[in-house]
Amino acid sequence: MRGMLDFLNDSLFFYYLGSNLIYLVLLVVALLSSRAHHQHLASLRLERMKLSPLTPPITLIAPAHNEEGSIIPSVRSLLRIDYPELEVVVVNDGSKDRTLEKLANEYGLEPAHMLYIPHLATAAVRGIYRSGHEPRLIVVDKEAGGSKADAVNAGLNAATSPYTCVVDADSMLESDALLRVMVKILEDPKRVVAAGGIVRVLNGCELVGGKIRRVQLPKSPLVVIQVIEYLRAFLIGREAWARGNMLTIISGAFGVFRRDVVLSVGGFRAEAIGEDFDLVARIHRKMLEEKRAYSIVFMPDPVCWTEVPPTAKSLGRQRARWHKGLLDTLWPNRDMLFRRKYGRIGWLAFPYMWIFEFFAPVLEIVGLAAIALAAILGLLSRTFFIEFLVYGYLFAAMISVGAVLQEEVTYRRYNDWRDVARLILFCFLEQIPYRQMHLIWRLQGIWQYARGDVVWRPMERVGLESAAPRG
Amino acid sequence: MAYGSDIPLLQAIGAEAAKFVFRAIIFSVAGIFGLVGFILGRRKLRRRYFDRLAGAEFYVRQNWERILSGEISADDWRAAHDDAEAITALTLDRLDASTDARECAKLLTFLRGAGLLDRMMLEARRSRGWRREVALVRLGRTRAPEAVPILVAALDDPRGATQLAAVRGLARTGLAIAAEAMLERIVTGELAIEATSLLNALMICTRDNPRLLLPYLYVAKGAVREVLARVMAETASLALGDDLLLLTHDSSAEVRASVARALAHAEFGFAFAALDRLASDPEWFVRLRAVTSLGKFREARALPALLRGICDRSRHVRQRAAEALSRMPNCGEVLREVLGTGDSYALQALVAELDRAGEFDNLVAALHLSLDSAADAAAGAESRCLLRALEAGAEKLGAMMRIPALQKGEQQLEQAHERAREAKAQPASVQELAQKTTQRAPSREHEIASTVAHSPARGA
Repeated sequence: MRGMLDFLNDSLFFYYLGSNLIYLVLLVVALLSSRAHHQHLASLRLERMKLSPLTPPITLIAPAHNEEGSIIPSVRSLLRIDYPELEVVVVNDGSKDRTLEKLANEYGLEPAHMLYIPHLATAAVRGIYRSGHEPRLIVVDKEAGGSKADAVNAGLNAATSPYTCVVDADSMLESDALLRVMVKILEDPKRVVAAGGIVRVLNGCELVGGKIRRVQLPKSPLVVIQVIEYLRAFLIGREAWARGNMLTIISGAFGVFRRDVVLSVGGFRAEAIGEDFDLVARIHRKMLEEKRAYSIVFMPDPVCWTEVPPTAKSLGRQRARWHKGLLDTLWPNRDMLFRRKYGRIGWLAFPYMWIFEFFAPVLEIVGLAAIALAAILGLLSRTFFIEFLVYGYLFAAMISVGAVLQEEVTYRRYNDWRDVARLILFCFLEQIPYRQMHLIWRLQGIWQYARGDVVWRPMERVGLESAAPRG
Repeated sequence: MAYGSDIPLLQAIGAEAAKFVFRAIIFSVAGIFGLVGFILGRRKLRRRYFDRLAGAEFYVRQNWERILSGEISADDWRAAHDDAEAITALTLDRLDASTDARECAKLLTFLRGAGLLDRMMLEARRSRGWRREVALVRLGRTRAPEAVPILVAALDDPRGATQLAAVRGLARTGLAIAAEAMLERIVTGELAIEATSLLNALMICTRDNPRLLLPYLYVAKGAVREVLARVMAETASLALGDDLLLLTHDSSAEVRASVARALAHAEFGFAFAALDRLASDPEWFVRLRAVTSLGKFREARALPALLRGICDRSRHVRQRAAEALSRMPNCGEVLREVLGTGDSYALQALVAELDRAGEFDNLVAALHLSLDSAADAAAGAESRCLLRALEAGAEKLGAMMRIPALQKGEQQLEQAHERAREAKAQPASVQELAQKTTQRAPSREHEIASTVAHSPARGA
């Protein structure tokens, strides 16, 4: 028993040290990378890109399943996007509510005479409609395919542009988001096959007519913690991984993909739980197997605002699903681990995902059990334990403050100093009890996956127009 | 997660876990204080700076004309840092916004006379780091020719950020001499910055004289050559003349695509012939650009190449060709020509684009009208054929979608057919129509009817 506890003590100590070291490296890389990106941004003339005939057309694909609460402001905001050649394909994925009816009433939908080639197999398409007064809008009405991926695949079939951007129907893109996300693609269209933007938390922001009038932090502590999580994930994690062309996730809420590349990997996997991660993993695999020069980039300035779960229950479901999705993609791609042909994805990115993302909750619970056992057996060094706890707490808080700093020196979306002060405060408060709740949710995800429970449960939403307090 | 401080691995390297963790705590505390201090301090400083600047700006705006005319002497405000900053910022903003050459000259004279230009040049030369970067961009905004040598010197700085700032500054001058300095360094590989930054800068500086690019385009290689070709595509004018024609034979597909794009810009006498050739290029994106450029002319001369385009093996080329054809003045004629290709896929692409452009219903209505007012049987038969062709095209789309498409169109067509049946006896089927038209109508109409009757089901 003593021997086993000693082994766990050593292993977990180094595991924790390793993960903290990685976070520190990611933070430093992200700070440097974002500074360079910020300088580059200053030299851009988006207006010129908008007027340039070389700017390629984009099809925005917005899958909608029972989104009657948010569909109209969402589509309105998509159509308001400033991009020279834009097509918006809304896929009504067998909604049982009035989603299609609302769209038909608002946009005067009529049956469209358009080419629909089913490159990707999807649930049956019932009809394709075009707006009578907004020729850029196409609505694909299909039977429910049971997943967002199936709906997106139908959108990909209907899309007519060389680039497609998948957005959630309950999200809002900033008007210049597409122009900004296309910057890297325009720089090197042959090499860049996909680009992702940043997803920010919409809850709490002041909305008027489907547009954000004022960015502000929500009142709910649970949502503020999610704001910090998103800042950390995007401004540190993705920024740093993308720097080394090791980006493994482009958020399902906002990502631009070359359509031919997506079709060549078979589109989104309909049964995938985390379809965004799954697609990017398959793109990496294909490109590396075919030895093609490619890159998948992250742009921190194009913003997509999305509504996050406001309650612990829905957040728990979301996080369990994310963790299931992680395993659901990592497992089929396990053959990519430590193989020369998969380069840094096989040697760095995926091992990191396995060890520090997927196994993190398992090791955390094992660690807690070991501590309890050591205490029972009288082996616990109380002073060291407390020191270690303080170190863990402070280091995690430092990384979170680093994410707030990154936001502050670059994009400064939260202008009010009270919002910044609250963000900093919550960097210290998120460790207890949120971190423990998060641990449980992720363990639930693993348990559900092991039991074969992979049913997608919709998140409770209040709709874009009512997501925030007015006035 | 660890419960004990006896970590053998750490001991092996001569470290003690407890001390290590204690140091890590100190590091984390220092990190937190540093980061939070930086955030709060930066906020405070920025706020104070902008407040002061806003105060100075209020004064400057109130007395702007007097300052500009020299009524308030530069000696009165030059020493006051905030006032000088506010005046510089305001002058540069006005220079940016102004399109009037006389006003620009007046503002530049003011900057020179007040000694502000000298000060900016000094800053751009002497300062270091981000201060120099800011000074370089600001210097470029003055558009003063004497600023160019300082900006060019900064292009040779080893720091990428300074190079980028110099490029931004040179772009703001918009001068040909700035373009030449950048081009020399790009071609020799001395200037390696993001392509979009270069593209913007070169486009601005070569807009008045795109010929500047040509010597560099001929000697450049690889990705640099592609960037220069893209700049040329955006800035092309008649000044490029026969050189564009030469470049249509270039070995790089990117260059050929850029030429195809450039030919849409100006009234080149040889544009049609060159674009016609490029529309048959082996690379799909060259054909795409050529077809897009041809579509912009909206002339019947472009029809043969566009008809080839609508039958292209690349979906994007077909779509662009269909889009161009749907915008041609005589949709009926275009439909006839597309049917003449015998390619049902082309017909579907055209129907889809007509629908997208809102022309589908108009064309159906126009064909009904001509059916009703047809002077002779041949003309009536042709209109009927075209209507049936549109119907077949749309039905084909419906079949591919596996949905009941064309509800509205079908109703209209049915009504039209009923009207026609009342007026005279109709052929029982399209095949009969084909036979009839072979006997009576010119061979062109027979071709149309055959296409409708035997529209081949081609795969995607």
